[in-house]
Amino acid sequence: MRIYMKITSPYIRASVIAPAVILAVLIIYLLTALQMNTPIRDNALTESFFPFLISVVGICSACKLLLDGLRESRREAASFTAHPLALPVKPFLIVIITALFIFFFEILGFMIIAPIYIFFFMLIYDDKIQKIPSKIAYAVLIAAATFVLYEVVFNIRFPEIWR
Amino acid sequence: MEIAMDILNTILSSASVVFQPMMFLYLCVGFFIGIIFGALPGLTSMLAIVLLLPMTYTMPITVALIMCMGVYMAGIYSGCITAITIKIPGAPSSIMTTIDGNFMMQEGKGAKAIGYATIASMIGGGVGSILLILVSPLTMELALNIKTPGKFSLVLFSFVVICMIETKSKAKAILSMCFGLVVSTIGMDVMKPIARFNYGTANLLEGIDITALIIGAFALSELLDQATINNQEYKKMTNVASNIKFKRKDFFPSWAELKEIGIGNYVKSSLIGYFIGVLPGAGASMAAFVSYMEAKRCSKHPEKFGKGSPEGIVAAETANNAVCGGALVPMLSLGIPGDGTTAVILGVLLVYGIVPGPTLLTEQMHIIAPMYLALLVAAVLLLPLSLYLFGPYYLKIVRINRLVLYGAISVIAVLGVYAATTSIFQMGAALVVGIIMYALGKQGYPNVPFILAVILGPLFEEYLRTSLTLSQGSPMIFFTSIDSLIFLGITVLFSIFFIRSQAANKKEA
Repeated sequence: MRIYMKITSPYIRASVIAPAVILAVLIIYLLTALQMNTPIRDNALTESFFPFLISVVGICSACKLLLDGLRESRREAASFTAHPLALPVKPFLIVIITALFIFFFEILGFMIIAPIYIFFFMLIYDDKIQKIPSKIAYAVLIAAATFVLYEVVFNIRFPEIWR
Repeated sequence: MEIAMDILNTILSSASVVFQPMMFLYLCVGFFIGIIFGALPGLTSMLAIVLLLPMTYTMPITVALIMCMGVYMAGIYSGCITAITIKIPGAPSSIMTTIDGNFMMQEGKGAKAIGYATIASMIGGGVGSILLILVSPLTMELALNIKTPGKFSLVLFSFVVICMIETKSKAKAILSMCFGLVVSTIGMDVMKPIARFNYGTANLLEGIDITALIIGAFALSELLDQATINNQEYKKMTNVASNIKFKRKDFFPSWAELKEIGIGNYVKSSLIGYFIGVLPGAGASMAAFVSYMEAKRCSKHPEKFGKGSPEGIVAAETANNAVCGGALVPMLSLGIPGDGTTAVILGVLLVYGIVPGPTLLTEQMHIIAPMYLALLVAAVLLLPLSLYLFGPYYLKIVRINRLVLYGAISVIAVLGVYAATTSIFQMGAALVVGIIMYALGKQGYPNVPFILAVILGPLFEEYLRTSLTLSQGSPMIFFTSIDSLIFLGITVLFSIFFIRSQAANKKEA
């Protein structure tokens, strides 16, 4: 399962986008650090010194990778033609159901949400929608085994709708 | 020397703990978890320990560590099973074993190849563990003399080495490390009661829990990565393995065959593995590679390498298991993990409030002493025993339903964060870290520098700020303190060595 995105510019590539995003995050991090305090005050290091140091090192590395990516893009710009890029959907769907599982975990409790999560997880992990009854059975079994493992063996209490 | 002898005595006397029936049972459980995770392509011993991490909360620390040792040794070893039989290494450290092991498999000598690998792993693991027992008391005693500036330089050394070792892109390793350091600064300041980078959120006041970070970076990101694998193709590959049948007697090479490999190969590979293990971030894959190349260089029959040479299998497998002992030396004596798995084991210690390093030996040595012997027992006793008892059934491991396995791993991983923190926010944080590490991993950003930075970041900052406060802001303190100067010198030497050897490799290529 994949979705397709049309790439219209040679600069839209992971080797440019990834360092650019990291660079932006590091700049925000640096600005936040500088808003907290100056790195050195009265000859003593403050709480913003170490974040400042990390930002400087990180920004240098991100700039290097960004320049490498841009150089690579420029080299291939002459022969570039717009093409579709296939993106896998499964990891995206796994993220969605895991986020939903986490969100509803405290509201619905382990007993309800865990089997549902495991079922959908297996459904997405599989190549196509098939063997639904066996997936339901496995989901219930895995949830039961996890319950025994955590609640009975390790004495960890999960939220439940009746608690 | 007196302290070192005391430590050695404590370690040796912990045999009474390791061989208690319940402790031994836990070691065996850990060992078989390691065998399963190591043998399955995509799963590693590190992931097994990551999943065990939240469960260890309710166990005594000694039990948890003994289990971890079983997982660690078995996980590194069992990667060879699928590497030899179906040409897919169960663990990255078995990539070199694939070359000759699968060739032997094609010639109908697959069982013997597994036998060679098991004996080699036993010897490598055993030598590594013995060296760990003998050397770490000495390094611990030496570590007692390291002062704060020296500790800073030592952590700096490990950061430099881990970035230098990365062959694909050093800039990516540095960024991955910076990301780990950024994450480690979230929450309360290490020296003053000031909140940092919490952006007004009370949930971030205590930072992101180490369990959430480890599970996110190693378990959730791996689940996302594995989601893209085609199940039909995976089934086809593993079906090949399920049709293979081994008999017990086929596993064991004759004395003459073992003699042909030569004791020197075992000793040299063990030492290579051990010393590469000591280097922060180098790990079992690098040890197997270096040892394989060295064995080929010194062999009387280098032309047989790549064509089913038992020497090749022995070199790779001896070295990758010897790494286990080596990687634990800097972790236990200096608080610096030698590889990803020991970084996670360090996480287990931190969860229990135990800070590895020099103070460990004076205050909590009795707690961790049994893990030394557990590693040795796992190598010398359990490896050959498991081959003899379960060898013919090893290949059934790969027939485990992949969907069921990953379904179970996902729920255990996510709930593991809740078990450790009882916080929905931390579960969400683990997911976010998992997504980021998955995305970065796809672009070739390594995850080991990240986790090392997360663990060592707060210590690094504390040592840096304390040293500079002591010197009233003068960085000269790092050059005037002898221990610090030694570590800085070693850092420079290593950097020069790595740059030169990588330049030579490039030239050769």
